[in-house]
Parts: sequence; C-alpha cells; structure tokens
Amino acid sequence: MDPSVEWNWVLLAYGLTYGALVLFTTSIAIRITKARKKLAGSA
Amino acid sequence: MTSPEQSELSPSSVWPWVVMAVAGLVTFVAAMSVSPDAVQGQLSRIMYVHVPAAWLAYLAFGITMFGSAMYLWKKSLKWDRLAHSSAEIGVFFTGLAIALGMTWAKPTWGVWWTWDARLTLTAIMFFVYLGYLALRRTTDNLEVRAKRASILGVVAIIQVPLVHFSVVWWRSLHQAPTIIRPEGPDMDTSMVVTLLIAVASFTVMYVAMMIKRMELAHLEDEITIEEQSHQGPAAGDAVVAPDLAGGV
Repeated sequence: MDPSVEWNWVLLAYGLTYGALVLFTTSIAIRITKARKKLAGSA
Repeated sequence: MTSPEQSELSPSSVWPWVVMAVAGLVTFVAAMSVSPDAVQGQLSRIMYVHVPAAWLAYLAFGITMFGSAMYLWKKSLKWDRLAHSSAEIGVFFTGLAIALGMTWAKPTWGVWWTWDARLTLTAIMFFVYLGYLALRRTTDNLEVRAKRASILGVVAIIQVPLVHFSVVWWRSLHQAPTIIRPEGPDMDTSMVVTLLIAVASFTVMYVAMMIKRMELAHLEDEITIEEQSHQGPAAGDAVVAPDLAGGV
C-alpha cells in the first residue's frame, strides 16, 4: 500500500481517537457545570 | 435514603483535565516517533491507540465489577458511583476500540467488519454495558437503582475473559496475543516500549477521567435527593395494592 494512503488511515484513526476524547471529556465538563448551577440555584 | 457522603460542594479541580491532555500528548508523541512496522507500514501506528482503548475497556469494566460487589456488600452509594462512572468510561473506550479496530481492519483485512469471535463478543459486551447504563435510568430510587445495577455489574464481567481469550479459544481473523504470551513478546522492543507507554498514558487518563466522572455522579445524586425532598406525594401513592390473600 502507498505510504501516503497508509498515513490517511492513521490520520483517520487518530482524528477519531482525539476527537472522541475531546467530545467525551467536554460532555463530562458541561454536565458538571450544569449540575453545579442546578445545585447552587436550589440551595 | 442514604445521602451522598459529602453534602457540601467542594470546588471543582482543574488538574485532572491537564493530566488528561498531557497523557494524550505523550501517547501521540510516542506513537508518531516509533519506526513503522516492516509488514504493515504506517498502519501499525493505529495499534498505539487501539490496544490502550481495549485495555481501558477491560480495566473500566473490572472496576465496575469491583464497585458493584462493594456496593452489594457495604450498601454505600460511593461504591455505586464508582461502578457507574467506570461503566460509562468503559462503554466509551469499548466503542472507541471497535471504531479504531474497524479503521485498522478496512486497509488490512479489506472489510470494515466481520463476524469474527473477538469482534462479535466485543460488540455484545458494548451493548450489555449500554444496557447497564440504561438500567440505571429505570428508577429514581438511589438504593433500588444501585442494587439492580450492581447485580448486572458483577454478572457482566464474565464477558471480559470471553472477549480476551476468544482469539485463543476459537479460530479468529483477529491476531492472537503478541505481548502477554508464554514465549514472550513477538514484537520489536521499540514497538513494545511504545505500546507500554501508550497503555500507561491511557491508564493515567482513565484515572483522571474517573475523578471528574465521579464528581459528576456525586452531584447527580445530590440533585436527585434535592428534587425528591421537594416532591409532594405522587398521584399513584394513594392507590393501595389489593389484599388478595385476605390479610394472611
């Protein structure tokens, strides 16, 4: 296989990995912020 | 009802996010620095994220089992939160391992997916733990939820050895273990070291993720308790089940 084609697959895999990691950790951060706001509002 | 052990809100720490970013960076630098494989070429670099993702799925579900067993023993919600947090992270990394496996399979096997024992069992494990997360949403009662989820959390761990040893027990398109095997690693030392760095970095990332996810689980339990304390009786509460046994 042409090395440039191989690099395309590697790019896809790492894009997928780091993209998913950023989305997942951001979702945790957003949910924490929302939960803190909700608790602060009800206190 | 058992309340979360810590009732006052402590400030949210930033360092777990920093640790996650550094661990991700270390993996990337290590994976891009090592020489490519003689046969697979640059495609071998996918291994440095695919294998750690699969390892974290095993680890996370192992921690879910531990937290579930501890809840059933101690009846403390902190163990249920540990199990829940780890299960969500485990589902994430199982999905990531499957997606990365598909990205590796297409250029090497020629197909995105095949009904191989390893792949099929991993997909089943993914859906069973999605079921675990769904089961937790069936009730707002923290004790009932924790008990139901803990039983499934303990039982579901049987899938981890099934997935791992599937490549040994059945004829598989997926490669057999190359690192942990009686004859020693069947890989160049530089690749083994890079893979171990990636696995260690992902494990550190998991610990940092768990700290933040458990913080969220604690806050969610606080909200549930807060909401339930302000709720009046529900319409259905007035309905009493008929005493068909005649009071016996």
